[in-house]
Amino acid sequence: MSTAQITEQFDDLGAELPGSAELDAVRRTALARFSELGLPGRRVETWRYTELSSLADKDFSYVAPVPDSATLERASSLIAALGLMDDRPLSVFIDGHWIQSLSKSQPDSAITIETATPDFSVAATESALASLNTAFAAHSTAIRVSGTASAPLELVFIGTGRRLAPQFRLKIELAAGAKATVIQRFLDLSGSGESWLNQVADIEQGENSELTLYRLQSHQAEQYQTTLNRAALAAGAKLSAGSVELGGALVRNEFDIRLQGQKAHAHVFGMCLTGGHQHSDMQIVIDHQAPYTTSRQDHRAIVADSSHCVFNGKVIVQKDAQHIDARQRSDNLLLSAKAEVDTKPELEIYADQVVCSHGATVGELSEDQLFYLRARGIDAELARGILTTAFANSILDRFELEDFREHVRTAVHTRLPGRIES
Amino acid sequence: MNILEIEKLHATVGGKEILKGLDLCVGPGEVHAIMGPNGSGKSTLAQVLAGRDDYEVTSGSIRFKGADLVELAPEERACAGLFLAFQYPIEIPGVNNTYLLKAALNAQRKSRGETEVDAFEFMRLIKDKMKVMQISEEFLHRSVNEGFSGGEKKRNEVLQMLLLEPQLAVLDETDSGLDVDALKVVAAGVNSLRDPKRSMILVTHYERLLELIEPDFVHVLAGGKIVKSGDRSLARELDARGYDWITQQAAAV
Repeated sequence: MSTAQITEQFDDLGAELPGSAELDAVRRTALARFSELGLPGRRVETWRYTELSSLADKDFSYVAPVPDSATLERASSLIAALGLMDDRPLSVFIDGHWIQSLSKSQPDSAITIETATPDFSVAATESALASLNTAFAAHSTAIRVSGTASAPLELVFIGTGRRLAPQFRLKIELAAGAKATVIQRFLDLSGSGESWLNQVADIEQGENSELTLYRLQSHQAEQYQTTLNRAALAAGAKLSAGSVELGGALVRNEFDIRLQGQKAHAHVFGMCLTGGHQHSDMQIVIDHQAPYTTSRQDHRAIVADSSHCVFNGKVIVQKDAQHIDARQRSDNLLLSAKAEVDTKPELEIYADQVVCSHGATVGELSEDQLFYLRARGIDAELARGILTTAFANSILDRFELEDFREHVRTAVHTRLPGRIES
Repeated sequence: MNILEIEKLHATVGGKEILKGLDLCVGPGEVHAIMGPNGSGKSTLAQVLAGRDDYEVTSGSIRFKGADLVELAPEERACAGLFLAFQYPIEIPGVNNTYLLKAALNAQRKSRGETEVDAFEFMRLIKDKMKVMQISEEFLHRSVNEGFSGGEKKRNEVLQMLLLEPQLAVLDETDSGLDVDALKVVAAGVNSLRDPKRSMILVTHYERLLELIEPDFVHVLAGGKIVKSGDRSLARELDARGYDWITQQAAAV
């Protein structure tokens, strides 16, 4: 489907989208911007290794229908299988629609979640995918935190395939001093065919607020997902964002983080585990706009078969942002000769009192370590499993929420070649 | 029957021949010391016995308990009862020591058709051995060899050996880099395992280890083969006179 066809679809279905005439005008502006930019691909520097133009050939539907009762039933058993903790508020979204009957709230005055007609505006510099999202997102879901949330909030996103391309918009706002953990899990009903979830999350953190944002993406093999997380942190705010990418045909997870107040801190960590012909792309931009801001990026990729992982970590230090400490690591393990990794650190530094470091490795399992384990009687396959698991664990250990960490660990371990029992 | 019989062994590393017709027989309960100058092939012999991939046996034979050793994968050799204490133990970040020890023990038990040990049984087995090696429990929770001192790495090798109870232990320069106290701990560990059914090959550069672990035989390895064999008095003679007189003698033959 070309961008022209997507525009036609908006003309046909746009009337079904909620909102005032003003909002409709905003959507049309966004759509025009999307048409001008087109689906991103290799000709754009930040998309050098990830090509979305193949999506143009798929006749996705950008306005997803509300799920029927059979779908809700299947989704319900999928959620039950996740073994979520009982005491947590849960919001379930199917093809981008909030499903009240599967969600549950917990009495907690510190945190509210609300799905409403969006109040979009379009920046002149908006990206193609964010513009597409603004044009088609029916609703916007807002999470507002005003104190210390008593339990982590679970967000479960379920796709039904069926050539749908839901456009999901999320907003997370933390008031000054607020504290919350938000967990996002992405999965699909099986055997449902292709889909593309395009998500935009806008995060605003007030002074000294703390947000822990976890993500476990375990899509079915045919799914596409693109996510743009845009975060602005006021003075003393802390963001800890950890993600694990396991599924999908093509997945791109972007962080665009602005450290706007002194001593704001962002830690972005994650890993991707790919096989077959999967493509996983992690993009991080951390913009140090204020003095004494700090950031950490830790990313690991385990790349098997003919799959492809991309990591691009960019640190910007603005002119008046002195006393910055920014560190980045990208470590990549290739499990096959056909596997491919592209990792690139980027530093743009305009201040002079700055500590910035970056390091990247791409390699195979160590022959010395394999031999050492085998010389103790451990067979070659198990030895490879042990070493691959150890490589993954150094990222997984960073998830501070124990039940989530162990859930993710199990999910990762069962997918590793030469899996091991602990 | 001999535990180990090596005949006319030739082996290459990266296309270069290092072992050039080595013969060695080790009987049950015997402790053999292999000494020799740097570059004589001592460590190559140890690696060849353990089955390192990039060491290629080009001719000759190695029989372990009567069977062809060369055909076996490293893990099969270990499960058959052969143990190599590494000269340079490998660091494995992210894999804790307990995990390695337990995985190794259970792999070997499984291959012998024995039941695997659980965490409780494992702790019972390892406790006394840790005492012998003067290793604290905290040590078990650290990543394998990561950040260990030289002495800790060598003690860890011997701890593994005590747990796995091999029939043939090959100790590759386990004494190198140790101070006198650490050497005594290592020797005590090795001696605690001496048994009429268990054999050992001590690859060493120095005589001082042999004061603490008394060998039954001492061999001098030079130029890729054993050029002289004797009892432990040979080690003392080597300590006093160096290796030159032997290598010259061998060259003259």
